[in-house]
Amino acid sequence: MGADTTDAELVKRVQAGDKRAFDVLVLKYQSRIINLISRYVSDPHAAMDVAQEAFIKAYKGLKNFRGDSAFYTWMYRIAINTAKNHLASIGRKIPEYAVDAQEAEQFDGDSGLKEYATPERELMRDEIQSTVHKAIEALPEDLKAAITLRELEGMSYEEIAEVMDCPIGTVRSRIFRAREAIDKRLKPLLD
Amino acid sequence: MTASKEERFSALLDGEVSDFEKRRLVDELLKDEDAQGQWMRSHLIGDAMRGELPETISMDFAAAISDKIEQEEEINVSHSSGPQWFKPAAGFSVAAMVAVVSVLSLQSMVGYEQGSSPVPTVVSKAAPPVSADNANVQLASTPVSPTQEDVSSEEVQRRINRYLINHSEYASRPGVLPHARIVGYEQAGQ
Repeated sequence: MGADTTDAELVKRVQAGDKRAFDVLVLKYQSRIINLISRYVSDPHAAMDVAQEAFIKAYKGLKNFRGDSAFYTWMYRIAINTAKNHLASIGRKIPEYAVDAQEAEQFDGDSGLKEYATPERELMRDEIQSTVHKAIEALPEDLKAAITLRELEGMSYEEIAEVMDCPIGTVRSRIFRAREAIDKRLKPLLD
Repeated sequence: MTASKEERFSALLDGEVSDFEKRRLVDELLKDEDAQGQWMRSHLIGDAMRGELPETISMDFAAAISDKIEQEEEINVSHSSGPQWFKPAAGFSVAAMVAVVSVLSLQSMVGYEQGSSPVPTVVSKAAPPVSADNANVQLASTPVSPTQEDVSSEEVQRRINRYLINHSEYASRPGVLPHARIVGYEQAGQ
């Protein structure tokens, strides 16, 4: 079990020729990949283009992906290489604060971005961020704890059940209800 | 009470479902656009909580990638002119030609070496077994003249000697050994 196993299933579908499965993987990782590339590529629009290129490269290379590493580790590596190639193509040095594939999995994406941000570009991100945080603050304590342990601590349902001293089914339900409550506030913002 | 579809998708997102359920839910997810929207927003929530939201957020990012992949595939299909068997056949032809050329050059090299050998083996091979009395006549009538052979043999030896002397000047350890080789060769040759 684990989020990786869902990725593995989606990868299998892409390898079998189902392009929709790749869309689902992109939907899952787009923010993290764009954010990662932003650490190398300062211009946000260029970062989006590089991220797009990285995903297309990943799609093309997926038929040779054997699953020796997790999909996101593999994807991060492609993203970093694409960003480095982009910098080389425009004759820029790779920034010192750039992260490698291993660090990328744990890095705090908020740092290092602000210097490039403009008020307009930040608006959407800030709105989403603030909506999500407000929604979390408004959650009942048990839902807040469950979603926090899951999203911030990366705990499995079993571990959360142990920490919260409740059945796994309850954890599953609490996490879902927390997401549902946050989504209720977020959806109108994105529509 | 059974969990709702949305709750099961939430568990799928965390990978907290059985293999069987996972396959079934992935099937549903791939068909259901609303579920994909929920999937995307749920990941966005997690990214926002971890502070991993990018500066610029595009809701059409995945669709744009999908379109681009489709465009590239269409271009690739239209650019791949000629029948499917052409590429491997062409590759095979090139490989076969290279092999034939290699064999022919090897044969001609071997032939050249045999023909230009300073040792009079051609004469002895070409000549049929003869008696000791008419051996000189037989040798004189062969196309390779002994005089020419002697000359070429001497010429070759002189060249080799010159080469070895020149080479010894460039040897990494100048000293007795390279010269000793030359002396040794000349003695053996004579």
